[in-house]
Parts: sequence; structure tokens; C-alpha cells
Amino acid sequence: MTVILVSSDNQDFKVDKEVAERSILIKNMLEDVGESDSPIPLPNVTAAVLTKVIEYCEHHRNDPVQVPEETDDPRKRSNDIEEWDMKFMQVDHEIILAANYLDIKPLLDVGCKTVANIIKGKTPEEIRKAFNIVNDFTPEEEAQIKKENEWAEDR
Amino acid sequence: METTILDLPKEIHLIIGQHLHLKSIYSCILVCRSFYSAFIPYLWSGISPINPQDRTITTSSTHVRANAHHIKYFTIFPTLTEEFYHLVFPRLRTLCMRAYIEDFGNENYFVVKPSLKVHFMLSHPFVRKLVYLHNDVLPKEFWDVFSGIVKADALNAFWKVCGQVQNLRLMDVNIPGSAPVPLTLSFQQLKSLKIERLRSTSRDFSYQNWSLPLLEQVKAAEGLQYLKWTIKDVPFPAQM
Repeated sequence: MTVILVSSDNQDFKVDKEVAERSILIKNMLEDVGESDSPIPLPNVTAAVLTKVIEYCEHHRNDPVQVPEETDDPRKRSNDIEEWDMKFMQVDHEIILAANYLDIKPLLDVGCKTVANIIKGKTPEEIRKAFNIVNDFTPEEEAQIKKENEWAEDR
Repeated sequence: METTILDLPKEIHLIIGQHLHLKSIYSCILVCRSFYSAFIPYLWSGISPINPQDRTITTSSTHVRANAHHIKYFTIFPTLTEEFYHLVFPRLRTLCMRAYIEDFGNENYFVVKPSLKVHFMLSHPFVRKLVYLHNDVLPKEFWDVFSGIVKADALNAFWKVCGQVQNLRLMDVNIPGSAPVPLTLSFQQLKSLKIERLRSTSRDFSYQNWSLPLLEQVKAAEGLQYLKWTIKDVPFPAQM
């Protein structure tokens, strides 16, 4: 049995019911409407992100428990590592948001772990670089935060 | 518009935080204002101002006061000084008064009077879980305020003061299976007794074996005026 999911940009995705039900949100929606083949609109998810999410759900359709690592398709990698990194991270954040909205806990965890792995072991300046963030603290604020929280620096 | 890490909602930052050590979270709060407000509650939620290795104080009470509203789980080691007991943590749920065996012989430890612990508890009646591993006996005023889950040593501390307690309230108390009710309790002052929802993590725990001996001893309380007994599987004994 298949269901039709509609992305925010009005693209239809035909998906096995079993796969779609990896999303608790969709599972609940299907239970609510009962036997019906009307498409399910997902106004918070774009086609690009939904493709990735479905890819993930297809891959994990049979596992009952959480899987530690997400598979990423090597064909989608461009030669330019820097650019690919940024692109991937951009999609990555959208996937985390989608996983949160669609209530797919294993995918949400994988996404959060990926971000945590990027942060691990980095200095604040390196984290800013990794995520393209601008430091908006004044030097005084920065000094105050360091003073208040230095107990955590070497824990 | 690109979605960046800054667009992720707070609850997702919390999940990210769960995968990070304090050291990494410390780096995060220095990244930018948005990261600061996302991660600072996480950094402070389970703080102890004492370094567990050498028991030195790692942060001043002024800094703890500035972040007091983030603290949900507070660990007090026996070297913690008086000024910390005067702070108020509005979100505190778990209070852990921790000590190691080697601490008990050190005369520089446990310098704080039990009355200060009472003072602390009076400011925190909303604490739901107490882990008490200090070795001083808590005054009864402490128990008049606290109701929640207790760990074994605290329950033992309670038994030691129960002779002066007027209101005994065992509510949501988590009783270890290995801690039977002492047979020499006294409840001379007892005016009201409430026993509700006892629990145990041990499979050997028996409500019968635990609550009936307790009731047996409570019988000696001549001044008892109020009794509440809501334990499943153990009916209120007819002979009372």
C-alpha cells in the first residue's frame, strides 16, 4: 500500500505506507483519516528535504531501533569539498527541522549527533567558522562570560 | 533564505547539548549571543560548585547566584561553604548532598551546621528528589518541608529524628529493598501520618513487610489525629 506526500513546493511523492509511517506525525495522520487515498500535505517540508528524509526512511524501513549513522549518497558529492560541506550542512539543518516536525526520532538524533560531532573539541572561533557565525559579543561581555563559566572550561 | 544552525529551535539545541561534554558547551556559549542563550541553561542545569576530584570550590557564589535560575540539579559536597546555602534556585528539583567515604575522617569537611541545611530546604520546598550521603542527622524541620523521593541514607537520617517529628509524610518515597524499617522507632510526637505511593526499585521489596511494621510502631503515638493511608495491595489494618 502506498501513500502520497505533498511537499511545500507542491511536488508529489509516492511512498510505501510502511516507509511513510517512520514519521510519527504521518502515522498519526493516517490513523486519523482511516482508509483514504487522499494525499498528505506537508507544508513545512520542501521537496529537496523530503527526498532526503524519504531516502533515510527507505533505508531504515526495517530497523526497529535507532541507527547510529546516516548514510549519505556519495554521488551527490561535488569535487569542491568546501562547497559541498556548506551545502550539506545547510540541508542538514533543514533535515533536523523536518525530522522534528515529522517526528522521526532516530533521524532527529542522527542530525543532532552530526552537529555535536562538528562542535566537539573546537574552540569558539573554530565553531564560528564551521557554522559561518559572526561573533556579536563585545569584548567586555566575552570577558564576563568567561569569568562566570570558567569552572566548565576543563571539566 | 538558508537555514542555519541558529534557526534551530531551543529543544533541538538541548538534544545537541546532550551529546556534548561541559568543555564543548563552554566553547558554545562563547560563540555568539544566540548560542549563549541556547546553551547556558544546559551548562548550569546540573552544576556543582565543587570539583569532585580535589573538593575545591570552582566558582564563586556570586557567579552561581547570577545563574541560579538555570539550576535544576544541585550537588553539595561537604566542603561547600556557608554562602552557597543562602542562595535560592527557583527551578531546583534534585538536591544531591554527596560525600565520599574518605571525606568522613576530614575535620575540615562538614563545617556547615545542619540548621543551614534546614534553611536551604525551607527556601526550596519544591525539591522532589533528595540524595543524602552526608553523615549528620538532619533536624526534623528539614523533614517537615521535604516531600519527594529520598535515597537510602536520607531515609536513615529521617529514622533518627522521627521521635521529634509531628508530621510524617512519606509521599512518592523511593525505598530501597535492602532498607527495612528499624524496629526501635519512636513516634511520640506524631500528630499526623500520611503514607502515599510508596515505591521501590528493588524487586524484593514488599509493601506488606515495609508498611505494616511501620504502622505497628506508629500505634504508640498517642497524639495521632490524622492518618492517610493510600498504598495499593495493602489494606488498612482492621485492628488499628
